[in-house]
Amino acid sequence: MPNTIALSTVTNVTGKRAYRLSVLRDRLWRAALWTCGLIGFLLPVSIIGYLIFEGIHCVSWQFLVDYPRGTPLGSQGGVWPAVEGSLALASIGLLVSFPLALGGGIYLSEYGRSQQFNKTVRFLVECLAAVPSIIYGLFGYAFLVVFLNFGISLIAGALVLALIMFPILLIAVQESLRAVDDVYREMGLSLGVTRVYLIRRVLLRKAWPGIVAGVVLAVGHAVGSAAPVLFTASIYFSKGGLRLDRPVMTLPTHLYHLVSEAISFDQAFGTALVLIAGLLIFNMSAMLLRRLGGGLTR
Amino acid sequence: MTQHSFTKTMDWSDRTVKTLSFLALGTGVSFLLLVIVFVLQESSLGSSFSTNLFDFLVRHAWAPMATPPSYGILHAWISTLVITGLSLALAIPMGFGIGLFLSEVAPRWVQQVMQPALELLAGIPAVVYGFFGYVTLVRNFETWFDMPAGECILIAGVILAVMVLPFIASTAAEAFRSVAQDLREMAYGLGVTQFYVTRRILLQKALPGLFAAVALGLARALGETLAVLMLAGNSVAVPRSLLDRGQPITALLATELGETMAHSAKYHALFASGFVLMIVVLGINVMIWILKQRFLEHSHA
Amino acid sequence: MTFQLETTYSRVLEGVRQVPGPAVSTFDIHDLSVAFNGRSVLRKVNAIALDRHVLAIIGPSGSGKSTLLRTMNRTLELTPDARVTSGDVLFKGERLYGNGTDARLVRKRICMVHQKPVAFPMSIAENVLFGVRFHKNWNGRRKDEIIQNCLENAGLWDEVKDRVSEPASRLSVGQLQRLCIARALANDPEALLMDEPCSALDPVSTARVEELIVALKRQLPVVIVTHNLAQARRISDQSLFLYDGQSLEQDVTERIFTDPRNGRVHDFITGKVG
Repeated sequence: MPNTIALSTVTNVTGKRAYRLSVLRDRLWRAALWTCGLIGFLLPVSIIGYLIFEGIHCVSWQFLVDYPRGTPLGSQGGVWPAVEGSLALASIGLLVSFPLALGGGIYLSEYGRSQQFNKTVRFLVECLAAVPSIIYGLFGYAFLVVFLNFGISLIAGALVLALIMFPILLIAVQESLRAVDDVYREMGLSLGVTRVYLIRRVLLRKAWPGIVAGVVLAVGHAVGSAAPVLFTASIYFSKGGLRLDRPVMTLPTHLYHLVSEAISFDQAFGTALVLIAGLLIFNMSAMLLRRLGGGLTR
Repeated sequence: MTQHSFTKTMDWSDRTVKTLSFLALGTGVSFLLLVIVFVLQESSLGSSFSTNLFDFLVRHAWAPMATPPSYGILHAWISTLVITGLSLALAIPMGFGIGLFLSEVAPRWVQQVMQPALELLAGIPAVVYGFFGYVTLVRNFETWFDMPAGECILIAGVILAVMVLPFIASTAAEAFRSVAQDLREMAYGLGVTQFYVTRRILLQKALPGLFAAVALGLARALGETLAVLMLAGNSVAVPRSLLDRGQPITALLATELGETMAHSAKYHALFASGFVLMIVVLGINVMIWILKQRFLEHSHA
Repeated sequence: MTFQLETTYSRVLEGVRQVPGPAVSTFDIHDLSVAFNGRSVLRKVNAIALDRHVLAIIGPSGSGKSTLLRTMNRTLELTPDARVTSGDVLFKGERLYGNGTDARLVRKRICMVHQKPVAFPMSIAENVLFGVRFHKNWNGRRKDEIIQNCLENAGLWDEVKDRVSEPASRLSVGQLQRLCIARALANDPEALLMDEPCSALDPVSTARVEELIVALKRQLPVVIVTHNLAQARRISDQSLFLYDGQSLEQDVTERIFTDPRNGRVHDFITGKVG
């Protein structure tokens, strides 16, 4: 209840001046908010625009499929091994983390033992999701690379990315399933079917859009992150050919390398553009997938 | 008649799936916990790194190459604080402004345009932000301010502000939106202006959500590595001005890890720094969690 | 199986309308008590439902009507913290809450239609076949036979026969409710329970569903919970009045509405009490 609104500031002084002042203040306020909104809109647009502007001349089919060349290495040529590496890391990471997250999310939402248990697990997972990715990189290095002796390799990097993706996916699955109205469960179960059948034929279909959104978020986050991969999987130049026990190039680490060693800014713009374009295309195709898969559930 | 309990007769398929999904959950969560345990373990073991906490945090400088080697992260957490503080100082007012804009002023079509814009901003990878900051600000700083190398904590703070902005803005928008519509209608019905309504009611009612937004931005800023790595300059001296170079904890870890031998004293020191960072971020998240619970209660009130 | 009914229910037998053959009891509820988290919701409820009859469960809101219905096909346990504390429900002589009873089999034989109709995310045809595909109780019927039969029985066939492969989500609420009925019928149930099936529907759809119920009762027992007294009077053969978790009176519907024995029932029927 706005019980402390003192109308005095508006109506007490019945003079027109006080009224006009407050209207003026209101107008200024609205203008300020519109400015904020405008800035909020212009920022992403101008950043992306600038990158496109500077980088578009560098990107071509050749750029995508060629290997880094020139002296110093990377100042010419293309980024194919980095594209390969990023894709490999993300897919293997997803392959490992998605089944675990799907199972975990189903358990939490459909078979969960008690409210308390669910809340505790959720709390743990959300906290761990906020741990900086460099810490995961630290862990990956010490545990996977050194302790388990995987060496700096594709598998080590993929496992670290799987760790990072798991909380995002788990929460997405759980929330999407929870969002499905309980009526569906009652109706299905009162026909005498098992929970498994119900989950498979009804609940997962209805939760599908939300799950896909989660996958997009997780993969985008993983592909773009350099910190966890820097010491667990990446190498500055590779001749291509993916092997689980060999290190790989990735787009973000390649970009970092080009800049920090001042090798070529042209190439850097190209790399950045490829990375961003790749993420955008991925996002958009996932949106398409959501519509298709969720088509019957509207 | 005696008490009848409800025997949940489950099909074997139900039983299998229940067990499997529980195992999946357990595996994932265990590995996450392993990370914390491992980092803790690696930071305290090793007698060659036996400094006490106070020295580590405040007194010693970071000089692993000196004799005797010295491990202290004073310069690192000060850099972290300054850069994070700067980024929040810029991002919070702007983020709240955007949040208010989205919830109070913007027409529907504008909201629908802004949402993907903010998502875009949030989706740009950190390394790209670092690159962007480098080619725009760093190079120009070298000419404008006559610096040999343009990296400084000012630039890092500004770019970090942009990175954190979408998180703060969308959480703030959510917080403002959740303030019950009828409260607003009652206020407007009394003929007061929008500015008035905002000042008196909205900011108060949305406060828990706004705290959550700030905490979210803070956690995000503290954990950022690549962008600050490329922009802050990586100097082990304690920064004294905004145009100085700095090295937040995350950048310290990224820089030094590559040249560290496993289980050496430096190795343990790095893990200790990582642990400090992790604890701080976890602490902030606990706070967010508590706030979120109160936030939810408020909006149902 | 024909039962020797107790004299307490002899009035139920009198004036039973148009029942081909002897009046056979299907549901037999004995002193049933249910508690939610310790709080008593049903207290020693007694009732019977006869084969090929419609039993309406009526009473003020909150008296436990839906709860009672849900004990009859073991969907009560889907609500957390709900327990049957004493008594039992017998269906054709079998105890529903006996130790060896499989709840899912109960739900396969006794199907329920809910208040709010909801379409599963699949085509109309697949919706109808949902339970059948699981239980595999084709019983010699072919896929399209079942679909057509059940949709016809539910009074929906004419409207959807050209589009059974389309998503069911495009149907209107009235059509959806009939789809839910078709879905329940496809399971080949031995009894049909309905929880306020018309409360979410417009008058036209309501009339169609009521026609349906009257047609269905020729094949199996129907138990319907309704807060609409006029509806109960229109379509049911017997009515059970529940008040505050207790069964006050069960009788032939005409008798309950014109000359109820219980004072409370009388007040409710005449509108003195809401």
